Amino acid sequence: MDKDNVMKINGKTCEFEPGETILQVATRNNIHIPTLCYLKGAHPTGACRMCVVEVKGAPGPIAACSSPAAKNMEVLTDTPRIIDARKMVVELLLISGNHNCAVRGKYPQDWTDFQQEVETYDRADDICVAYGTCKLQALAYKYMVSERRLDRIPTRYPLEYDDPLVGRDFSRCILCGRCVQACVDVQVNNALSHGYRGNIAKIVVRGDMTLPDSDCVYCGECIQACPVGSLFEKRNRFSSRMWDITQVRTTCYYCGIGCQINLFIKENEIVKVEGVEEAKPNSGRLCFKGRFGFDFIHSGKRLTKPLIKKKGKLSEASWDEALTLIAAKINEIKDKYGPEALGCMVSTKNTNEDLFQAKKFFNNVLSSEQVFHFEPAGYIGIEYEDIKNASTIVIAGADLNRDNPVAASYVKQAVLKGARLIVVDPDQNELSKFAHVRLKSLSGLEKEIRDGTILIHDPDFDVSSVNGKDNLKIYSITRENNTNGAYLMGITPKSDIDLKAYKFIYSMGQNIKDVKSVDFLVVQDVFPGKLQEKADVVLPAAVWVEYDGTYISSDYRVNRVRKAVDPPVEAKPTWLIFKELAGKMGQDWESAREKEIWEQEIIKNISHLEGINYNILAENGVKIKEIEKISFEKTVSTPKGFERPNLHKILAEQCRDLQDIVQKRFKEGK
Amino acid sequence: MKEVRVGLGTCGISAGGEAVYRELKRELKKKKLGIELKETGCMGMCYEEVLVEVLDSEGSHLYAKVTPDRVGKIVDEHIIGNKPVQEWIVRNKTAVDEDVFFDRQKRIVLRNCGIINPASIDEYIAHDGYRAIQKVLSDYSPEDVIDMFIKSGLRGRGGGGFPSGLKWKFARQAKGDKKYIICNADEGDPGAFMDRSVLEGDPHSVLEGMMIAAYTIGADEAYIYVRAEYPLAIKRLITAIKQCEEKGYLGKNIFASDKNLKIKIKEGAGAFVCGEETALIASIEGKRGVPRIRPPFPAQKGLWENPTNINNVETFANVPWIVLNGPEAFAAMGTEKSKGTKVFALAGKIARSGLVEVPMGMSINEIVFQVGGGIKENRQFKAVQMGGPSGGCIPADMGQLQIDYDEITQTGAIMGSGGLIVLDETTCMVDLAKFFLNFTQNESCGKCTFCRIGTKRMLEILERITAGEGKETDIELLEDLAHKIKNSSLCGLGQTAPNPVLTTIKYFREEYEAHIKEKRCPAHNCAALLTYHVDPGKCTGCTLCAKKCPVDAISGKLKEPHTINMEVCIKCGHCFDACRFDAVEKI
Repeated sequence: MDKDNVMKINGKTCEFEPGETILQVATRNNIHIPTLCYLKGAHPTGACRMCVVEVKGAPGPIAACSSPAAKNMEVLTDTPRIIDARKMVVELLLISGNHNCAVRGKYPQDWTDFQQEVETYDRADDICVAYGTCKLQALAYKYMVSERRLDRIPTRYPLEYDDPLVGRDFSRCILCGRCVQACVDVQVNNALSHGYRGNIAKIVVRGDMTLPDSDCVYCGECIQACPVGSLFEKRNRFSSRMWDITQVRTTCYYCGIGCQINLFIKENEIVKVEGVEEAKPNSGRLCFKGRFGFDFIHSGKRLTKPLIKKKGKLSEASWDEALTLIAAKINEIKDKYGPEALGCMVSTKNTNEDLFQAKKFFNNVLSSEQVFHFEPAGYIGIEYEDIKNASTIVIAGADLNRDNPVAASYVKQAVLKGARLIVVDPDQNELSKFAHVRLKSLSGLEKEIRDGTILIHDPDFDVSSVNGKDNLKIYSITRENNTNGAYLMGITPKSDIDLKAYKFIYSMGQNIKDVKSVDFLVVQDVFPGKLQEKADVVLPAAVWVEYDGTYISSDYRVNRVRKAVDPPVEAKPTWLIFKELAGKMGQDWESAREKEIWEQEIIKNISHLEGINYNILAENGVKIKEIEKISFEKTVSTPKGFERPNLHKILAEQCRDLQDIVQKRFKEGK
Repeated sequence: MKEVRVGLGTCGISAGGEAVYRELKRELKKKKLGIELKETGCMGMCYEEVLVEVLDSEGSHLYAKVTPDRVGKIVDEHIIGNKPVQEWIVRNKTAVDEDVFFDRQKRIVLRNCGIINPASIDEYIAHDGYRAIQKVLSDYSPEDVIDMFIKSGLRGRGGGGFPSGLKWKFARQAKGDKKYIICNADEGDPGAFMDRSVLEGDPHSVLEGMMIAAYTIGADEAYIYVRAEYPLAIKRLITAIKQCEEKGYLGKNIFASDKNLKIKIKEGAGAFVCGEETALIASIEGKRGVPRIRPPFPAQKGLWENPTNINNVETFANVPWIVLNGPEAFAAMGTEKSKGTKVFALAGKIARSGLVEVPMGMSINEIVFQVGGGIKENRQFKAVQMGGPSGGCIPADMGQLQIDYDEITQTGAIMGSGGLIVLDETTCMVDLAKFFLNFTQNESCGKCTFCRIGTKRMLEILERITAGEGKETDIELLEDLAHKIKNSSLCGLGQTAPNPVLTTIKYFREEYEAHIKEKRCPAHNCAALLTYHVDPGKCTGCTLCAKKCPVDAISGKLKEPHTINMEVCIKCGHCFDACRFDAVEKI
């Protein structure tokens, strides 16, 4: 044991790494020090003074969150003097706003007036949105701060409620500054800041305007950071309470990063999404899409029943009827044209289990190799959070702020830490604002490359001219959440395709412009779409929160997705549709659940996944084995006549609609 | 050869100095006297402004309260007729009564103030200016300079009292290619004007001090953070920096050495908290001026994360003197742990308010009664307030206390940057504490809980005490809040904000109790707790009070005693001020 790095906390000898704070050492040693303003991953500000501790030799209490551990330091975390100081912090914060949840004060006669005043202000009969999860409330309870020796400070700033998504209740703000840190230090969106000073201090946007007029991009990081009920999502404000909610951990559906999220479920509905704080790759952070973009799941426009074309018109049918028809048509076409006339265009938004079943069906049941997609693979060879330690970063054509905002946040953090940022093809790329160098093309890049330079390119951006350089690591993020999964399941892209060769096509929402030469078209989708008008059978699919499964993200991490809500009416998971279809074709597949498909079939057949069972994936994702040996196609272009899946468009539109609602400036063309 | 100097610091200008200067210039020109007329900075006797000094073969003659219409007589009788106008002179060889104001002082920091023209680098050079930096550049290594300053015992004059040599040593030892020197000229204490006077009166001494510090720690860039409310000081600094650049004293290869130094001015925007070093750094960086936690200290990670040394104006102004006169000469003055001199801005109920520089170790009584000339209107000396909003009160019966960092700290006050406010029996100590607390809570940045909410709560309690609505438990509550705010606040502003309250409770607890229990203000100051009354024995019925009363609360016939109707009275005090017979009493 290196004697230099030893200290004592409450008599316990603790080792520390140079640079660690007292709070970090204590937390690692299971010694609890209460905090309010401390936000992991951001610079400690020492603002709230809740975490004060006694250090032998120091003249007064010091803040554990921001004080570095030192050799032979002796720390006491719970002396009477410290508890007294913490009690006063709680007391001062409680009187500084409408913290009406706390333990009663000692003047019973004013309770009614007080409560009524709060309710008028709230426009609500209910109590605070954070009741039960509020950190201040918990501390008031813990330290039994019930005495109200001081008068309550009247609320200075009115409730801000004109934003469609986010409410700001300044009467409950304790000015801990976590929201500002989340916005500025973590997401680097720089929308929130501290305004005014002294006891009229306020968290402001753009010189104290309202959210819709600000630079806010609605990542919602601030809401997740707020320890009290000051920042909240309006849509769940009065619809759910903490104790009504079941949380389901799953993986985000939008892009290839694979952010870990907790879905808050009440009565078969998602009411809120939060990032999982301690999990890779996102360490709690989310983007606008991941946090707010789940309305489509509960949309009334979802496909709910199979449809069969009868007399030129699609009409509702039973699953049995639909699958029987498909099986018959498959046999007919296979007999006439051979198995290679049967094709399947998968969507790489599906789970590995879905895709494996599709492939199995075509390969084993139909003897067709024609299962494909049009998506280039992606590869992120480092942990996302290590991006922020990079010294030089090149962004080539990838609009991370738009497509992968969580990755963009790590890049921006790197810039804050002093990294050099080079943006190639900088027009329209919002990251250019942070760039030190802007290049029109890769041709001028050579002289900017230093040892350990990271290049992140758009999957469509050709980087072959800089390929193979020793000091350059080339990465990209897949557009879809499970493209790498599709590759591993053995489904590869096709960039040149002759449609006339196919007489039967099973499309998972993939749009095809000209299907005249196709004899029988099955479209499996979530929403109605253009292609369905030409389909012979339409099958309603369940989406990712409606069944179990796994995804493989761009950093080759296998993540679990979990069933959180029931699918609407008769929509079914893709894997189940294929199992039932196989049954119709006379093959009885044994695996009856996602877990069985994964554990009995997938990981036994694909060596990279060996041993990664659902148990191992119970919490955090697991990186697949021998990543470096995997080489998938990194550039693929969608062939003519094909468009990206219907759902992709719907998700994009949904997010655009939401963004339009919340951001007036888009409408005003600013 | 005669020379005429006019004190044109902010104090001189606000007393009408510019008009006097213009009149002198006109007269001297009209009469073709060919006499040098010079503008200088503050001479220190702010209570006697406008000051005009005439130097002749006999020496110096200092004219006080000069107005443009007195100029003609001074020029005719003294300058032309060689007969000084004795009745207007406050200081020369024969005017003994005011001598003690200067004679008890020891002027190191203020050595050139009021003597040289601050806009002239040549005059500064003629007064040994820029000799110290050249000596340092040619004769001393940075380590030598550090040793010299550790030996001198110079401590930070901004209030903290940290040994300057040691501070330089830390910055010198800190790893980094780029280092900064910052001069803290964000003088914000109410009633303090030491730094302003030095910058206005002798800006080059500060620049020279900064050059020496920059050489010592290895900095090639420096900032002066000066409050925008000091336009004259800024003007003087801009001129001085420009002159230095022209002479090659600043810029590349200064004084033909291999050292570079660029000094920039950053104007503050009026926040008191920006005098706190980490907030000041944030402000220079263009960020919101809020303190951050230390460590890391600026010596390790300061401006733009680079090692930075911050000293205040007075500290820097001491530096060239110490180099030229030696650390021993400096250390010979003062007490064991507080060496050299200290500049004070005397204000309040003192006869001679102004700027003084006294050796450390002088007692408070000496400053008040000898240098300061005692209390105005022969009232009773009650206390001094030192250190502004961060400081506290020291009662008159502790007047023997020496000016010494540690002794003053023990009383609960602090040395501070040099504000010294003298209080007499008409000062209500609760009201005084309220004044300072109001200042700090307004100037709190709002970041940490204790300072943001705690000081506001304390202020409210003081407000209700002075309004006669104090509760029995209030003193206890104040003390509880004060101790916790002091112990646990984030920065120096919060940690010292309760000092004015704590010291007044400590030394004048009975005044608090009188307000709370007897609903009485012993100093007859708190409007809510006093009534006005006309003493019929003294009232001559002159009717002046009745005429001044804005609410017609006073009635009475001419030449008959008047009475005040307290139900109408708004306690504005106009009658009290108006009465020439002391007939109006506060009870």
